Amino acid sequence: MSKKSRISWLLIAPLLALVVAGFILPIGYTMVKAVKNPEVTAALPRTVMVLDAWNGQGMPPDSAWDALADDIEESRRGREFGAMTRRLNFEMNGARSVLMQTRRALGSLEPPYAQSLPVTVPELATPEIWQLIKNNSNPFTASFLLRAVDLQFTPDGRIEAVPPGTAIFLDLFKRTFWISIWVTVICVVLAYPTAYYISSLSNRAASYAMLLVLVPFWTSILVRTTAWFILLQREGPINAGLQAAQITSEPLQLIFTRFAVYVAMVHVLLPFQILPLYSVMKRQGTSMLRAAASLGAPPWRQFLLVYLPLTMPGVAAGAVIVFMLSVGFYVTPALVGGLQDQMISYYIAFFTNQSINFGMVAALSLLLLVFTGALILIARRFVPGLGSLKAG
Amino acid sequence: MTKHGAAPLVVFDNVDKVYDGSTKVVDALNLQIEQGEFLTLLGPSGSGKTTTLMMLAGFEAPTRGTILFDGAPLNNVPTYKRDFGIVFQNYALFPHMTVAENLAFPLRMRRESAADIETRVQRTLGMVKLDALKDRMPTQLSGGQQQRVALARALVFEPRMVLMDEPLGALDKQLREHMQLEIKRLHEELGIAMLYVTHDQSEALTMSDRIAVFDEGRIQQIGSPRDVYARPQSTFVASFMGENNRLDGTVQTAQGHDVSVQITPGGPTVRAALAGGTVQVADTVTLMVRPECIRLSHEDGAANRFDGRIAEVVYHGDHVRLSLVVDGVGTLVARHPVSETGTEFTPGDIVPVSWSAQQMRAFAGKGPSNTSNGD
Amino acid sequence: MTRIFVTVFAWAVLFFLVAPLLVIFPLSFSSGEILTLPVPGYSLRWYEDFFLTERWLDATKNSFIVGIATMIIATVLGTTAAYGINLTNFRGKTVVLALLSLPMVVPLIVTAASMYLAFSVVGLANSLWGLIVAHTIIATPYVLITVLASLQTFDPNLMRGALSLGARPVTAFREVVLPLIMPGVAAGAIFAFATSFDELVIAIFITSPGEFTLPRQMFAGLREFISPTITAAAVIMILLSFILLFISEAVRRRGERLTAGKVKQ
Repeated sequence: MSKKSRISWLLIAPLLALVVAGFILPIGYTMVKAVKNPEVTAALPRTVMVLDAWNGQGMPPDSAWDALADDIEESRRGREFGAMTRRLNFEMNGARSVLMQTRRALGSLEPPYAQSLPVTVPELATPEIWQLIKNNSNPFTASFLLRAVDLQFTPDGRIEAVPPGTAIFLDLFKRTFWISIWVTVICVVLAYPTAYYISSLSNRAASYAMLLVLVPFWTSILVRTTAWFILLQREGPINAGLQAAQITSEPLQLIFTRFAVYVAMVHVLLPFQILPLYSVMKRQGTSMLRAAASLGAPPWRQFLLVYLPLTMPGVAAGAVIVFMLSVGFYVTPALVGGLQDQMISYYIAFFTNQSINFGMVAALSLLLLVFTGALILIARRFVPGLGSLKAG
Repeated sequence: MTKHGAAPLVVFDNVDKVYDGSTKVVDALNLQIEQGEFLTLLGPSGSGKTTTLMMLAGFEAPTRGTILFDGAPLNNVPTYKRDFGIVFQNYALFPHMTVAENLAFPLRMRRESAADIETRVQRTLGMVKLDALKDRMPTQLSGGQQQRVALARALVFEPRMVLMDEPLGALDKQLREHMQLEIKRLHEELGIAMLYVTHDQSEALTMSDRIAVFDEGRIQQIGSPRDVYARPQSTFVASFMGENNRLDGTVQTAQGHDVSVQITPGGPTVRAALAGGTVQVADTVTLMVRPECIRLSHEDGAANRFDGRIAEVVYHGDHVRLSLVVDGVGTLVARHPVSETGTEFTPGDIVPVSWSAQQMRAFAGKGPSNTSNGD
Repeated sequence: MTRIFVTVFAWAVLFFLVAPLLVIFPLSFSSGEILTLPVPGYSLRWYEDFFLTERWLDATKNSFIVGIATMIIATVLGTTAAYGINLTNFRGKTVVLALLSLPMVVPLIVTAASMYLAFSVVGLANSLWGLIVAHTIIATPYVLITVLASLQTFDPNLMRGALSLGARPVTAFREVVLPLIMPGVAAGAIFAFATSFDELVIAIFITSPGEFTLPRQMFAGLREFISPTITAAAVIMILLSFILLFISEAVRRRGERLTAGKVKQ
């Protein structure tokens, strides 16, 4: 390696190390969590071993009961029991209470348990719980990824759709996609004439006008969303204004609606569409339009056939950014939207902070990441160099 | 033929420079730079002259071979220890420092005292006649002034040698010619060896003690300006150094350096001097003679005497260019100085034409195919 | 005709962009407890509340600590890396560039969740240091962008000139390169600070009530109940953004002036 290359690497190394350790590895770790399934093997090692020899049909051998009892006794002290019950409950609702019951029952029973346990805990007398344990003794599982698209494993290992009441994720993805598309379209429609107008102003006037775009751009997303949160309240300024102007007689429900989400998201993302468009339009200038005019094209044709195509890269660049940001948006929908307006990000947060299920966090994140990656690769055809730093 | 008869200052010993494992930009270069001499590396772009300077400066490392300075190898000496004054093509003046600060920079690097720095900066600015501008910023100066600051900065710390990479390229003609003389004068005053890179052959002829003509990574010829101009050893050097009339012909007789050549079969022969090597009778040779060597009279001592018909006359202020057709030889371009009482030339006139055998160079084999080129 | 339409439309959009922010200002001075217009009376009580409540002051303090630390680390790492990237075309450069741009490309929610999961394992979650690391990682790409842009307009002969005049490489960097890329470095630094100060999503995951930053505190306030103190906090943040924007523009103009009359070829 040439001397210069060595110096280059040396200078880049600290940052690269930080990015790898603090970013790449955590994301990798999380992606792996989408398919890892350690809880059952950790909490019930003996049971797993016994069930390994079982063929899954009928009832497990008697030794399984003793193994289960031993395991539950052992894991009583650690946190593996709780993690395992939550994991199994995810696959089969009710599993957790069965196992809790079992743990309580064991307190007053003596081995062997094959006869005594099923009396106190009748659910153990049917194969389902045992099949469930066996199916999840594999270190890896596709369960989270399946659930993220509303599919699940049946106790005997087939894949089937999740019951309609609990199927939320496909709708969620659709909703996220649609909201993002609409937000992008609205942004493009609003941004195009605006950017054109600013680009037609004198330099001095343009810089003042751009200030009106830049100040919101530099204001944090939270503050801007908060502004809308306040504005859209039932007792907020907008409702007050509508009533004062006698357009409405009663306050409208504006907050926590889809409308609120659209308004706020457009407000936040609009500068991202205006800035690249403006830059392209500024560079274009009017020379092409004049050339077209001199060749006999009327204004609407100048626009359609010359200006629009030439400014399309600006539109594309901005639209891709807006769409990508919008798909992963959390703050704005979370604050001003209702439960029916939430997007994927909401559930990623939900499974991290509220109903703790790192497997789902990982699965949803993985899907979101794949989707974003695919989007960038496709968009790169239209906007070369997207998503990567440029270096001479 | 060294100027001072001492050991060479710089030696390039079999130096190669290869890029990307395949492009050989400098090929087996062997070159010596004498103490105190003004050596110009001349050649077209891509010929390796700038790369050679870069290797001496330490900005590029030779792929193979050694560069010696005062007998000691330079290969592992980093640029900042080489103590050469370098003038860049775009001057590379520090835009955020004043002229004085730019000049003070190398002295500060050498930890000179503030008083010393002030004196030397003042003195060097005086040398290039820029005293009044010492507190200006580079962006406030004209191109010519910036060039002189760059020169001053390269000289202020009394370097062991000065390297200049096409420093006058950005200047207009008059300024350039003025600066050429300025630099030459400084060279004589200071006595430091100077390595100068240019693609402009007239510049090289004006300023140099010796010229090394580069092409495709190799030195084609090295010698005094007069040597290289009047006695080129290859058609490349001949074409590069100035205009030529070019004729191809067959050798009739060859004796040592003297050859007589027939241009068209059955036509007249011309006498020429062989530029090197040997030829046999019936070999093909390329002949080159410069327009200013073609006289419009039958001079004594000129072995080639003909009559020519004027085909075209172009007036250039201080000279006229005439296209002359000499039967059996070809069309020759002659450069004739204009004088007050000089004859008027009209196309169609028949005039006497002559040139000496020494001034017509003969090169074995075929050369570049343009008749007359003014590079 | 279209001209008038476009003008009106554009101004409407610009109004839409700025108006919500402007409305916050009077609301923050309202003496009433319900945030609505018209304002019943003017008062500074919400600002008082902000500056006197420990919760808000601690949050602001945390934001500044994390913001400044992020700014310093991101700027140092980013500038050295940018210089290294600009130096030469080494093998693997495209891969490195792709890796370093990832934090900009991956959705913030995914970054936040992943960092939380991984940082918890090494005990970095629930600490300001974890937040600093996280913010540095997402801020540095912006430093890279601005410094690389500066470096690309930097004349490499200046560095060579400095070396030829006897300056050691580090001295040359300090005396010649740094002053001239300072606009890019400064712009990057400001952006890094702003990114960290305004950042919410990662803060939601990685901090707990002891380490709340200002945005995190605001978010909590909005979710629980709306105290009008939030408007005071919002105004303060808007003013801060405005100041940062102003500084960034000033730095950019100064940079342009310095390299404007550069020696032409």
